[in-house]
This record gives sequence, structure tokens and C-alpha cells, in this order.
Amino acid sequence: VAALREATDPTQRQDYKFILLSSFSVKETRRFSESLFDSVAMSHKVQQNSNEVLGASLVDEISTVGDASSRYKTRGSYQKKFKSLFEKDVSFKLYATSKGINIEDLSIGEENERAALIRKIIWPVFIREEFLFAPDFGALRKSSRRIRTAHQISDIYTGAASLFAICEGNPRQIIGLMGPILRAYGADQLASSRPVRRSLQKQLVQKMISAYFALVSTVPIGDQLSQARSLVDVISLIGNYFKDTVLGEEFDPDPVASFVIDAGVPPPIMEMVGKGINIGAFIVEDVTKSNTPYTLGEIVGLKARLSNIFAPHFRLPLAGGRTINLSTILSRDSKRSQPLLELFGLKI
Amino acid sequence: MIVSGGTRSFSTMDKEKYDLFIYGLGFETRSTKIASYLKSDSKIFALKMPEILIHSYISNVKFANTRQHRVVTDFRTFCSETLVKLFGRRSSTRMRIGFDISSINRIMLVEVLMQLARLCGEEDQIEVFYCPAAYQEPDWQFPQIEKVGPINFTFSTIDTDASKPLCLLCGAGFEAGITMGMINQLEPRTTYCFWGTGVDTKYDRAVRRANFNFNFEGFNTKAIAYNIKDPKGAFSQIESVVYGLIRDYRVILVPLGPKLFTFLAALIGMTYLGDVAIWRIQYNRLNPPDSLPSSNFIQSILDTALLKEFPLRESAILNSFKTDSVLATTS
Repeated sequence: VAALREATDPTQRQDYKFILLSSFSVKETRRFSESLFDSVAMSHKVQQNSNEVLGASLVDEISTVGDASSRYKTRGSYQKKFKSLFEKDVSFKLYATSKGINIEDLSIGEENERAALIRKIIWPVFIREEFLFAPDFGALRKSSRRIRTAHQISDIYTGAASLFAICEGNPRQIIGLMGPILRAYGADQLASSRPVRRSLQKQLVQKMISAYFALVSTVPIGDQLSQARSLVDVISLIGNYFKDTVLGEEFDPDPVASFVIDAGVPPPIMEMVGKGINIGAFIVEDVTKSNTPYTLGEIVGLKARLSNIFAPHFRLPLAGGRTINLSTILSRDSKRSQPLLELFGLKI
Repeated sequence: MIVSGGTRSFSTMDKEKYDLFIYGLGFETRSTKIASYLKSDSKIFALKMPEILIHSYISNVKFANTRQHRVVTDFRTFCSETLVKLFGRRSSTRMRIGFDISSINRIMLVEVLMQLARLCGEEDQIEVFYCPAAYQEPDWQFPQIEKVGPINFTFSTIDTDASKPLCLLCGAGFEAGITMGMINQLEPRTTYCFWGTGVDTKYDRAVRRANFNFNFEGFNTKAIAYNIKDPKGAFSQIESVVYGLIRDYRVILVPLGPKLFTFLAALIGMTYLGDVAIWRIQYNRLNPPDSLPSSNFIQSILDTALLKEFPLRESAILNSFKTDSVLATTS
């Protein structure tokens, strides 16, 4: 029977080609997003490109090789961030010291060396620097460590490349986000040619995240577990786990940013993750490139990450990182969170 | 469909007598407010809501028992037998029927209205009451949706053209993000967000906030305010929009927000039976808030002559389906 079924079932690559509608890689979405932006900009009679309208972003800066060395030099923008974190985060100080990072001048050394040691940790350094307060009394004690609780989206999620990464190439989100930005840019264009102010970008990103959470909460659920009663809960569990690896007690140069949907995941959560994949809350790896043919609907064993749209909310890097099993994330004893209050706490 | 409507104070209900009065018996404090003013010789039915022992549930049940209201635990039998018998044994030529929709769930609200339309006579008077809740700050959590779909078979656009684009008419309330989520989920060609005003400015602000100030960027939406205190005007307003839409769209009414919108949606569904769907969003809240009665309530008197057209439309549609199935079998 199995042989007969195999003979009649269509086979991936031979009988059909699997087209993944989401992209695991930030870079892959960029070209599409740029083109769509240009098209939307044309309709708003804006001729400038996305970098001119939205400004530069951390994503772009990190991926720029060679010509950005000034940022690493003494008093360069990156050096200042590294030094600031070095002074307020004991665990980072220990890490930097153990790796021999010259905190006063990051430009010393070869480009390859810098890529392996410095550029690799820019995202966790920037996020920690942004959200960790300086210790009280100037004492570098762990007990005095505090995390900033302000609700506002950080500047590191603004600028062209960051916004495109957050939108994940979703046309509706790009159009929805860029419409007001281009209107504001068009209105200001006569006065100046500066990019749209970051505060407006952050406000619109916040609104987009709220709208996306609203979409996620409309996904009907089946059986519930006490640890996760909804898709929003599952996303919060995963997002908070990732956040703790970035903003945890110990500096982690390679924080967790993705997970494998392993067989140990309880069926109700497996179902919610499946629904999350369907609406784009989780982005799965490109299964078309795997050695074994992919069976539609089979998600066990797939590698996935949270959509970048959640990154500003959970304070996550817009970059890859370590992968762990989803069951490990779920097994963590965490209080059931109520993550959304702050989304409506702001005046909108 | 609504002859007249407006606000009334509770004291004016003091001497009112009804041949039939129906209300929902739940945990909300407002649940028994209007019923508490009725004359004791009225025939009063309390439709028991699911037993959630919070807020005023126990005292409301005690109240209903003390006043010897008929507490209905089997809703199906109530609709299919009790109401049928009541109308069959009518003692007066003109029945006066009161229906308090304040604390009743949306499915029951629609089912009772449909059954009243089927059973009433043109000479009867049907009065629908809605007691708005006094404003309480929402918790601003996104409620988790459990079920989404047509409220029942009758209101499922069974007779519309599926190739037409979709149009949503949402009755927006202060449930955080639900309207946005539904628009995002269903991606309609166009959406009208009706939101009730006129009761409390704090409520108005909360509705705007829960609905992103009605600025649903990326979607074709239009927000329209209606006056909760003027049900007749609100009905005309919504009905005229629906009238203009049904030729080109599949229209789905999604009642959230005040129960009054569900009532108006049901009347519109009855008027455009088969062409307009009414959907129900069932969502879960860990700690549902109490609804305290505000200082007065809203009354709507229905046009029973127009209401009587509903059962005619209903049987015509059902018969057309039977005819279709016979044709399909014979061909």
C-alpha cells in the first residue's frame, strides 16, 4: 500500500515546486521591499530613495564593510556604545576583557578579526546598551542591574533597513507603514530634505505592532494549556525567552533567535504554532532547500523564528542567532504574561 | 423597522404591565435593573445565562426566584415550545411584549427576535430595551478569539453571490483590537466601522483608542458614528449603508460593542435576509468586568407589520433551496 501511495502521490521537485511565501532571511526581503517602497513613493510624488526618506539604520550600518571603520575608532558611534555598555554592564566587561577587545579603539586589527569579534556582537551590545540602566551609585554590582521599562520603541528599530526587516516584505504592512511616512515627508519636503523624524517612525511601528497583535488574537484556538492559552501567549513565551538571552544577567554574544519545532512540543501548542506560521507570526526556514522533500503541513523538525515585527516589542535583534528546541523554551517556568497592556497604554 | 425610540428613565417603568417580558439573567448587575420595575402580574421570563459565579450572578438569580419570574434553563425549548404556546393561547387581541437585551448573549438575542417575528401579529407591540453600562475603564488586553463565524444558519448569506467582494460592517466597541484583527484577518474590500456615541464621552474615547483612532492604515475603512440614544435614527443610518452596498458586495455585519448594535444588525439581517450575514465573534476574557446600569435606558418600539415580512422571506428562501435540491436530483 505504501509503495502504491508513493507512486501516486505528487513528489516535490519532480511533480511540483514548493514556493515559500515568507522569507527566513532579512536580506532576501530587502530588494522586494525597496521596489515596493519606490512604487508607493511614486504614488506620493516622492522621488527620493528609502534611505533618504527614512534615514540610515543599524541593519545597514552593520552590513557595511570597509568604509565604516570610523565608527569603530575612538569616539566613533560604535565605540561609544561599546564603551558605555562596558561601563555599566559587569558581564559585558568580563566578556570584553576575556576576548581582549580594546574598548577604547575597536578599529585596531584586521577587518576579518573585527567581523568575528566586534560586528558579530553589535546587536546584543546595542540592545543591552539601550535598555540597561547604569548601575546605581556607580557600583558595578549585579544586584544593582536594572532594565529600562519605558514602552517606547527604540531608535535602533528605525531607518530604512530596520523598517523593511520589521515588515518582513509583507506588502500590506509596508504600504500601511510607508503611507503616513511618505505623506509626512512630502509635507516637510519644501522645508528640508531631511529624513522623516524617528519619533514618527517609532509611533507608526508601535501602531503596526498593536495591529499585528490584534490579528494574532483573532486566530481561533482549540485546546489550551495552562502555560499558553492562546497564540499570543505562545509568542510571548518565545519572545520573552529570546529577550532574556539578550538582556539576561550574563552577556550572551550569540543570543537565541530561533527554535526548532521538536517532537516534544505538546499537540495544542504545535497546533497554535502551525496557525502562527500560517498568519506569518513565525517564519520557517526555506524548506525548499532541504535535502528531504517537505510534506505540506508537517512542521515537526522545522526551524523557525519569530517574525521581526515582534522584535521592537520584545527588544530582540533584527539578526540571526542561536537555535534551540521549542520544548526547551516552553519548559521554562515562567509566569503567564499579560504582554499587551502597554500597547494600548500609549496615546494613539 | 423601528417605529420610535429614545431614552427613558427607570421610574417611568413603574406601572408598566407586559403580556410577555423576556430578559437575560447573568452576572451583570444591570441584568435585572429593568425587570425590577415591572408590575408583578406581568409574565416575565428570565433566560439564564451560563453560570459564572461572579459580580451579581447569585443576587440576580435570587431576585428572579423571589419575584417568581420563570427562569429558563432550556433555551431551545423556550423558543420552540414555550413561546409558541404563549402566542397560541394569547388572551388579548393585542399582546404587549417587552424584551430587555442588556445582559443577553448575542445568539439568544437574535434567536428570540427571529422567533418573536415569526409568532407575533401585526397588532402586537414589541418593545426592546437596552440599558447601557456605566463606564468602566477597560483592561486594554487583546481578548482571545475562540470562534468566528455566522451567528446562525439564517444569517449566513446563503442567497448571495460568492463572487462579489467582501464588505464588513463592524459595530465597534472598546474591545481592544478586535475590529482591527477582523479586518486584518478577513481583508475585506471595504469596511464601515459603526461606533456608538452619545452615552458617555469617556466611552467614546475608549472606543476610539481600542480601534486605533479608526485609522486602519493599509485598509479601506470608514468610521461612522451613530447615536445609541436614537435607535430609530441609527437603524436608518446603518440600513441605508447596507442598501447601497448589497448590490455590489457580500455584506457581513460584525456586531461588537453595545448590544444595541447586535439588535440593529438582527433587524437589518431580517430585512435583507440571505444577502447579509451576521457574524459572531466569541472571545474569552479571564476576568469579565461587571456592567453596572447607567442612569436611564433606551427603548425601541418595533414595526410589527414590517417584522412579519421576515418569516415570509425566510420560508421563500428555504423553499427555493428545496426547489433547487429537487431540480438537482431530477437533472
